[in-house]
Amino acid sequence: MATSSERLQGTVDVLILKTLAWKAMHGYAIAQFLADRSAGELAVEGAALYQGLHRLERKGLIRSRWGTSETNRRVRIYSLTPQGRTQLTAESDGWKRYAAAVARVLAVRDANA
Amino acid sequence: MRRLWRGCSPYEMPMRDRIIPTRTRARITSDNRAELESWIEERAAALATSGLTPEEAHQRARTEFGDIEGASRYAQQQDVAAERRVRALLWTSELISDARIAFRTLARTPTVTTVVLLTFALGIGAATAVFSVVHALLLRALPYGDTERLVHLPSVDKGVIVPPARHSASAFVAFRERTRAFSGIAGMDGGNWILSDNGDPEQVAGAGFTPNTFDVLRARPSLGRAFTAEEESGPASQVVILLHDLWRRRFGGDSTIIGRTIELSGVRHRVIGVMAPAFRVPTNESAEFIVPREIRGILRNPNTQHVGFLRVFGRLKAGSSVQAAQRDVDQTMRTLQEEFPQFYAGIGARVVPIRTAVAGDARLRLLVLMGAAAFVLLIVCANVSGILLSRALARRHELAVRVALGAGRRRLVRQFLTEGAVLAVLGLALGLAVAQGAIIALRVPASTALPVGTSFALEPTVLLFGTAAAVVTALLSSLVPAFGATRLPGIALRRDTSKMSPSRASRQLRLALVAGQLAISVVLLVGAGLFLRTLQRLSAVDLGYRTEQALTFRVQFAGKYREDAQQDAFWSALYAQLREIPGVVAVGGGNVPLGQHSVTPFVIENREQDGPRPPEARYSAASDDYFTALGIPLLRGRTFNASDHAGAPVVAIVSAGLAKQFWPAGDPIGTRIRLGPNERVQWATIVGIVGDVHLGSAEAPRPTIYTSQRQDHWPGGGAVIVRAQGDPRSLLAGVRQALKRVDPTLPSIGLRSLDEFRRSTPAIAERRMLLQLVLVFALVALAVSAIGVYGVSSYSTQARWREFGIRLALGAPRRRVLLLALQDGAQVAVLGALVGLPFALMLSARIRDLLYAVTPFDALTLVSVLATMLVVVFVASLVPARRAARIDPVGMMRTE
Repeated sequence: MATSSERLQGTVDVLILKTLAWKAMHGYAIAQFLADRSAGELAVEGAALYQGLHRLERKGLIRSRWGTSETNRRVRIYSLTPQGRTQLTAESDGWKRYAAAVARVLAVRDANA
Repeated sequence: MRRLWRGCSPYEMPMRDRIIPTRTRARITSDNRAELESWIEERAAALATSGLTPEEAHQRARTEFGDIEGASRYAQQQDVAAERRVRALLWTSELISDARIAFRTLARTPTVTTVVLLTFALGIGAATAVFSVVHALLLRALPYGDTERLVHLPSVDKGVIVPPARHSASAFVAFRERTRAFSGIAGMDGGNWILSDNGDPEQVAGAGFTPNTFDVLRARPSLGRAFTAEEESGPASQVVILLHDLWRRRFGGDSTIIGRTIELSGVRHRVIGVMAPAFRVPTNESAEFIVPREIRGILRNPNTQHVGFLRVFGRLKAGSSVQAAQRDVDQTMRTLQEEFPQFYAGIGARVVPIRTAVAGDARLRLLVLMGAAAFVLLIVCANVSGILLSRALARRHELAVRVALGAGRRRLVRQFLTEGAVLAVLGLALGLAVAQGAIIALRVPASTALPVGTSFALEPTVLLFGTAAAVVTALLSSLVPAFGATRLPGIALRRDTSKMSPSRASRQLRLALVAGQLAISVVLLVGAGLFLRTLQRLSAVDLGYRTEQALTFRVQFAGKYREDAQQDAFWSALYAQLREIPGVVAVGGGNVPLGQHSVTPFVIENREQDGPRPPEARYSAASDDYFTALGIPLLRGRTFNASDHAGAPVVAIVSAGLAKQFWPAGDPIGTRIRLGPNERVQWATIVGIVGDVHLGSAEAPRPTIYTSQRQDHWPGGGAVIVRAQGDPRSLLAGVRQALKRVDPTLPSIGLRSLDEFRRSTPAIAERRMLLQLVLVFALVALAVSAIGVYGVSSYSTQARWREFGIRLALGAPRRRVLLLALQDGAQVAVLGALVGLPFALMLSARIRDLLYAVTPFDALTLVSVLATMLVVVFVASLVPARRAARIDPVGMMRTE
């Protein structure tokens, strides 16, 4: 059984992958996207998201490059790698099954995530 | 290059597309800080639109983000881990590409590569093969438990160990009962039995173990059991334990052998155990089975109790040292000396660790061989270094291009080392093949030159040694070119590198490498020369009998012919049959085989003896024609004849040396002597004096007494000499048939010509193996150095091509150019000799013990070695030099 912190990490990872599957984004944009899509219900803390991005990059599931944001700032833009796409498909079923629970868990603001 | 990745995350890229440089730690930190800052900025900007002041928006954005410190740390960790993996991948991929380049480079110059690989293989093969022998004799675990405490106690006579260095039953019992340093004392004797089960009768060597010997050795049969206390000390129980080899050879490794009986010299013995494959009887490695040896009978008999027949071993008690044991043993022997001075005056025992005892006198020879092999490896290193260095210099253009493209020196050095590694792997594979061949070839001389039963093969330790040797050799040989050819300032990209002459330093380095090879060759050649001279001297020693045109073999009675009359009948029938073979000139027989001896104390009638102990002489019974058949000259008196039969007065013949020692002025003929300690033995009258005989080539003749075979019957058997008219080997079949006609159950043991016998005597066989190996090493060394000389002089000739052409154009005679081109060769030859000779003299002084009648400073050897070296160097540098002398100056100028 995974510990709650691992489960939470896994959830954040899946959320990032799912978001990036749509298009390449920088960190804050991902956070905004998640908040908007769930009408504020699915808010992931910045720190957790930031950590998730670096974790996924180490695993080779996403990659980053420097780019420019809509507001003309120099930002790090993340995109899905082929491995990341495969991983997302593989976890897609589980993702759906856990979706409801994830939503509930994410509602809890957890600084230790 | 398919694409240049624009971003900063190269981790998922296929390796061959990567050109992204790796990131440093500091770079990771600053990247991450920038990312975080822009993140907060974005959020603050969004918040500012809802009416907060910029400061408030910033503050809010930071709070919302959460634990910035923790997140930064975590991100840094993840990125560093990712970086590390990338670097490892990068390193591997570089290694693979280096290896690919190395293979390509090697394949581009097939001749050079072949030469290098063969040199490598020879060096590694030779060293590995020699190491397998060294390992077998000096390093391998002995098949006994706790060998640190196991010692051999050879007997010494006036401070000298005289093999087989055995002790009497009384001395053995004294060790067992009066010493305190030992937890156990073991004794063993040896002998030859005839085994007649499962196939032709065969002579097999065996050992007899006194009680508790297995405990002292800490060894047990791997199949069946050891002797019980009852079998050990009971009256002559007929049980036997087989050694592994005999069990496999004669009984096909059949495990149902336990409990069956086999016939040994006519007596049925029950097999109760089989030893493990590695087990050998210490210092009696040819023994193939073990029987219990009960010594009480021998101990009670006054004629036998003081006769040496046991090899004695001891196990030291915990806490007692070899020195303490030695004091203990000295004390014990002193008591015996006082008690029985007539037997033990001057006799002692030495405490020798078992490892030293088992290796015997092979140690120095093995060290010499290992040293020679190490020299060959060194030469290989120097030579391969030289070849790789000149190839590296030829590749300066390629190196310059790589430096221009950004390769650092480290990268270049690594490229060279990888080439070395590829050479090592290929060289090791070839080298092991060479080693295997050499090991098989070595087994032939080893059978006579090393302790019997020494087995050596490519076993794990030996393989490990070969691998280590290959790695070290490859490393050493690629280091010089790696550092010599990659000095960056020297590698500037120029338009025409072909005209660049090599730097002075690299030329000197190459000359030094070749001079070093020649120096080592000189050392090896001097060694080989000294052994060659030794062997010549040994073979020229007059043994006192004629070895050409004669055969010898042994007969063992195996329990038959117990009566004197039966023996007489057997010998005269055999001699008669042999004499009938066409081409046989004379047939003789004695009891002691050539090369072996039996020793007896003797007393001269009416003469006070010198010391407490009676004088000793070698001794054998001999047939009438023994001296004729061997070609030992009769100096005075007569040999034995038909009148010296059992009932007639007992007679003896003595050697010239004995006559001279005990009758310096007078005439011993007619004087009576008595053999052995037993006073009831009949006095024998000396009737003749014959020439002295050497036992082995390296030993001085010792006083010898002969008795008549018809008056002195030995139970074991004897040795026969057949002198022929022509080639003695044409008589082999006839001799076997003759023996078969007299007794079909007896095998002819050790049937061979006397010349073969002489070659197989230890003094000659041991040195022949040494000579052969050192000579092979020396020749390999010389050949390898010749390649080096050729390489250096053809390289420098090429570098001076223009100069030579100009000299010729200006009118220099061709002879002058030839001499100039020979210069390098001459230089390395002189240097090699100057370094090699003193070194050779220093080392040869250390092998004095292995030489015979040759001093380490043998002028003939030294002169011939130098001459050989000079001729080889001259020939090797003549080829390029002649090419230089034939330059067509006009043609050369035109092409310039």
